[in-house]
Amino acid sequence: MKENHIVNLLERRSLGSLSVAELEMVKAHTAACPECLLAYQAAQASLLLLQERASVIVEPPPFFQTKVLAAIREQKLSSKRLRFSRVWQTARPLVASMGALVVLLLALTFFNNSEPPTEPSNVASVNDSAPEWVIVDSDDAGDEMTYSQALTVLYDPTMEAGDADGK
Amino acid sequence: MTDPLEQASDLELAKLAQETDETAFAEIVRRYSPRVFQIASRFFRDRTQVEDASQEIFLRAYTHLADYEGRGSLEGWLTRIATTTCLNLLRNSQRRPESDLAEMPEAEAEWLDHHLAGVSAERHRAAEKSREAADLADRVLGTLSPDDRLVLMLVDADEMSIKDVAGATGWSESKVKVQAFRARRRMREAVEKLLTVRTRNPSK
Repeated sequence: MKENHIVNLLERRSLGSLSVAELEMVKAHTAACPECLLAYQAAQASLLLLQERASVIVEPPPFFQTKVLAAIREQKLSSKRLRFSRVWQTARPLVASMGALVVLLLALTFFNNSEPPTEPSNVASVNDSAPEWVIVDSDDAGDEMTYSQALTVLYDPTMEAGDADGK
Repeated sequence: MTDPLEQASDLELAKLAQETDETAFAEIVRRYSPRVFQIASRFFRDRTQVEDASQEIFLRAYTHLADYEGRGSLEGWLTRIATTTCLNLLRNSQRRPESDLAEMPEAEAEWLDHHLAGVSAERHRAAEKSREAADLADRVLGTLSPDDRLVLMLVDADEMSIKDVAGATGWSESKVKVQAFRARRRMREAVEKLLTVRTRNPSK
């Protein structure tokens, strides 16, 4: 009897696909085998439950097409945004380094312009140290004047006045 | 005056939609939304879930439209996308714990009692009993894996051939057979437990 248990048949095939002869055989066996009877009842209940579940169908709502098209447009937009953000992610280090370079160049230019222009060393030392230069009067080559004497002659107002009077 | 798109073949519509013609894709949605909703209804019961799944199916179809070369039917192609999309959504969703089965509502318990009492299938299918049966089916199916659920719904409930199920899921035919075999056993065992509980404690 044991080798004729119908459990294997119930698992191998859907109950709905069994032929009349197979069903008769199942019924004959379950009449004498309580173990298989429970399995058969469970298989019957399973099939009924599945069929009932399959009969539940949700109908598409009236504006479903519009919703799908709106979702497609939204998806397109978000994929564009995603593409831009990917490009930005890739280009960000390059853009940042370029920006840093521009800032550096601007800073260099600014600081360079704000420094006082460097003068030749001989001009800068006019008032600081005694010049070594000698102004030579072309009329009298033997009468030499130092640089400070020449400045005194040039800028001393009393001497200017005296000169003016003399003229 | 009829819309020329309504007269267009599936292949023509698919080609137009591939050229980013939205109205052509809208026509595809109009034609196949009942079929897609039917498939999604096998996996989900809640209206919002079914609608969300169907929208996701059409979005995937639109994204992969270039893959459709017109070799098979557009319906078959969409059925495959629908089946795999729903299966993935179901896999990602939370499974119901098995202990839920023990706490059965009265209406569902009554349905089982009627079954045990040998009430005819016609009476089982009476409108007022259908809902309880569908609820109970969901509870039992909720304890199974998404793959088991899929194969039971397609092979046993919809009576689809093994070949068609293999086509819809992308599985091999032998995998479908083995999966169906195991799924039937698991479902039968789950229902057996419920029946045993009802036989021992019919008043509960």
